[in-house]
Amino acid sequence: MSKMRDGRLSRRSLLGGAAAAALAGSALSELVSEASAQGRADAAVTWGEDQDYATLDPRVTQSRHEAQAIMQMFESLLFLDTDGKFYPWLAQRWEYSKDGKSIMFVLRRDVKFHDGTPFNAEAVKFTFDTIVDPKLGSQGAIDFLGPYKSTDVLGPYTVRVNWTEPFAAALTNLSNPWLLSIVSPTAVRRLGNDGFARNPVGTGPFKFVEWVPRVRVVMERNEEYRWAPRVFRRQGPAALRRLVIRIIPDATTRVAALEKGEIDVCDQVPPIEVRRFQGSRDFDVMVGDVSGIPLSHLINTQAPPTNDLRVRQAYMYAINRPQVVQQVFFGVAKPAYGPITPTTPGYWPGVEKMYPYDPAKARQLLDEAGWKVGSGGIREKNGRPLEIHFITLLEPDLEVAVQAAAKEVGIKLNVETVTKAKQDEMVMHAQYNIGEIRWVAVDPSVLDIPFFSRNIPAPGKFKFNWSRYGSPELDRLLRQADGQVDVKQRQQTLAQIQKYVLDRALMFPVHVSAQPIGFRRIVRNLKFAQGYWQVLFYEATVS
Amino acid sequence: MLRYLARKLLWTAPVLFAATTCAFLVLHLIPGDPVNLMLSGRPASEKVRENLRAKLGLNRPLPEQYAHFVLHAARGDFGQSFATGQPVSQVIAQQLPASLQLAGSGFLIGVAGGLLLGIAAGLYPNTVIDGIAMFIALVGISMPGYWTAMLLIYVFGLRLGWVPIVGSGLPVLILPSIVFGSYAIGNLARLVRSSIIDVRGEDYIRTARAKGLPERRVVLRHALRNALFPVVAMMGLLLGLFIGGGVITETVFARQGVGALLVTSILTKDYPVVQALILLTTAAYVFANVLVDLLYGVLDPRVRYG
Repeated sequence: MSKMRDGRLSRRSLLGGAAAAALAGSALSELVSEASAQGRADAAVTWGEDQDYATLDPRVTQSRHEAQAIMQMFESLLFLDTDGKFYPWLAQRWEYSKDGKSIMFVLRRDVKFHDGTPFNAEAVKFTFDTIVDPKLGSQGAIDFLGPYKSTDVLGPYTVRVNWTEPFAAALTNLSNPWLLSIVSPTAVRRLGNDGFARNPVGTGPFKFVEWVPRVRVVMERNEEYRWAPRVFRRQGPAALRRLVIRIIPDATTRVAALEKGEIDVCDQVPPIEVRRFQGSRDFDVMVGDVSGIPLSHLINTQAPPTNDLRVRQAYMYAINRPQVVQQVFFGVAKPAYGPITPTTPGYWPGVEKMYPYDPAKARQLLDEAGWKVGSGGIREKNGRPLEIHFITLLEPDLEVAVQAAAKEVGIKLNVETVTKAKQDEMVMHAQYNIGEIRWVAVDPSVLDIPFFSRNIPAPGKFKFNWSRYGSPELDRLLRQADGQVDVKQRQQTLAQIQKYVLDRALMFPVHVSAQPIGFRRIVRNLKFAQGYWQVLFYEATVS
Repeated sequence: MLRYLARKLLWTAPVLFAATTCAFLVLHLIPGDPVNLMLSGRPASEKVRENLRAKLGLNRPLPEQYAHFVLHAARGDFGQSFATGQPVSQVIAQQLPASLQLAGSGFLIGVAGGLLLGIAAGLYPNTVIDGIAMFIALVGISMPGYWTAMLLIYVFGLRLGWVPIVGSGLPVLILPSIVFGSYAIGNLARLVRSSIIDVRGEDYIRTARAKGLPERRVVLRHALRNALFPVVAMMGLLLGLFIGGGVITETVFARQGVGALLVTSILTKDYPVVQALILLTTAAYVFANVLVDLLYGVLDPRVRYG
């Protein structure tokens, strides 16, 4: 079932016209997977992972790759499914206070950590309090706690989490299974923070066994597991006996290992290989349309020539996104039109109409701005050519395709491939016209990061407002959305933000990040976690 | 002999010191903040960055960081990896066995293959044998490692299925060793060939033949022994290279190893790990060359250490 619902169809298209077809499809695949729901009880599955790990502590990590292992072993208070609904998990019930500054959680009483420590209110308080302790060096979780104030233990199984101001992202963030999941306080006290990062102890369906750096992480089934959220049809211990994460950085090797059966599931299948697998008898691919910020070009509004709104808009009209994206990704990734992707809550479909491919309009805007076609087709003004300096690190192939499109309207796009270190330096010193970003995120508050005025980079301060655009109005809208606990009201504010950003051409969204997962057909019931990047193995079976 | 050895080893200390100091300076001079690199583009807040800087000791002035590094390194303590928080010695100890395994087997394959091809080509210059041997040598030198690796994976791993690609156990060492050794095969084969051809023109070979020694004896006792000197020097260099130089092989075959560790650590500016690894590889080079000097003495009776 998961493949149909999670992979190929976004939530939005399910709600739309394709509903009937999708329902029929998932009913059918549900029948099929029901039959194989048990699978082989002693099965082991190996996941081929493209990046090395540094920590397995959810409180410390910032890596969506480490998350792949962490979320099999740890659990959070709520479960947020890819359908956008919250389900009870370690917490049975929750309730916002009237002022939106605290949430009370009533916890499950039957949960135990892998080391036998009972899960309770103390564990929740311990986890959150240690996250904000500077000594831990938290890289992701601390930001996810937002304006965290404290956690009150109201009873052995009741807690109240408090923030200093209303925090709209609270529920989404607390449902994150790899950042704000609950750790065993006994294990942390016994091993210390660095020790715990290499011997993680959580409450999840898989227990940690072994981590061989740069090679593999091994997990085995937690036989005590009885507290799966109700979104799963399976209850009780996982079907797989053993789960191995094998680190294979090279994509060609990873794919070869999958074809040979040395691994069973493979992340980040190169787009060019996807079709081959989809048509094969033994293999298949499911593609996650990742939530968060799509791969986007942030356009510097301070440096010439992109300090002129008309130049920025011309750039956005000049590029045929569906065509460029098809060329580079062979249909695996979808074009993106707004600052958050369609699978992100709060997405405003209005963005899709704002910058259609319109080279005539691009030329007209450039004419109006005084850029006249000069020698070699490149536009000029006061004897200077229309050059836009583009620094790329993430997707050089894509940017070369964009370069060709920009040239059609007379823009000379100078694409410079840089290292991360060099990029950071150039960003801090404002030596660029355009830079690339993309993030996996589940809550739309991720928009703060590239658009809040306090996030404009400066020498020594690496931050992400690379458009270098700050306005009290945009700040106000962002702050408002962050504090709007009411979902409908927040949706409206978010729509305003998305329109505002595109009206001023601060960002040119290019494509939704794609996570193509290749797998052997004998592995069934893989389920995308929230965000459509990682895969949950709890329900997985091998036939 | 012993005095010579002692003097050589004493000289390694300043070499090692200079190498690590250079590494420290260069690392700090090139742009890039370790904390930003560690967060690898994640949208972390300023709070996160400040906490990390304090935790890693990066908020201290540079001379102080350097003094701290030298004083601790002298006692064999390289601190903790920025990335994992583990002691650096432990991080390296985890990766070193795989590196030594690969270096050892790659070196064996390289030396055996190089000698064999080089001798064959040198004994029968300008024949078909020479042509084939030199072609293989050329391929070994000029084919980029990642390309050889992918071809081998495709043919022997995937199509024929003779060896595992990323599995475990000894068989998994076969393909990486071939890739790793192929460069040495090419280099050594060409060197051995030319030095055999040189030696064969010498008077003492003619003398050996004239006094009626069988050809096998002429080749093994007289030609080869003398042809080996440049080869031994070359092997010393290769051994040093092998210990730190497995980056591509390690990455393509998803193996552990200090080569890939060094590259990742440089890219993320994990200073403690980089410094320790530079020290380690420099030491490997220096000792490999001391070893070669000593080997010279064994092979060549004219060499005396005083």
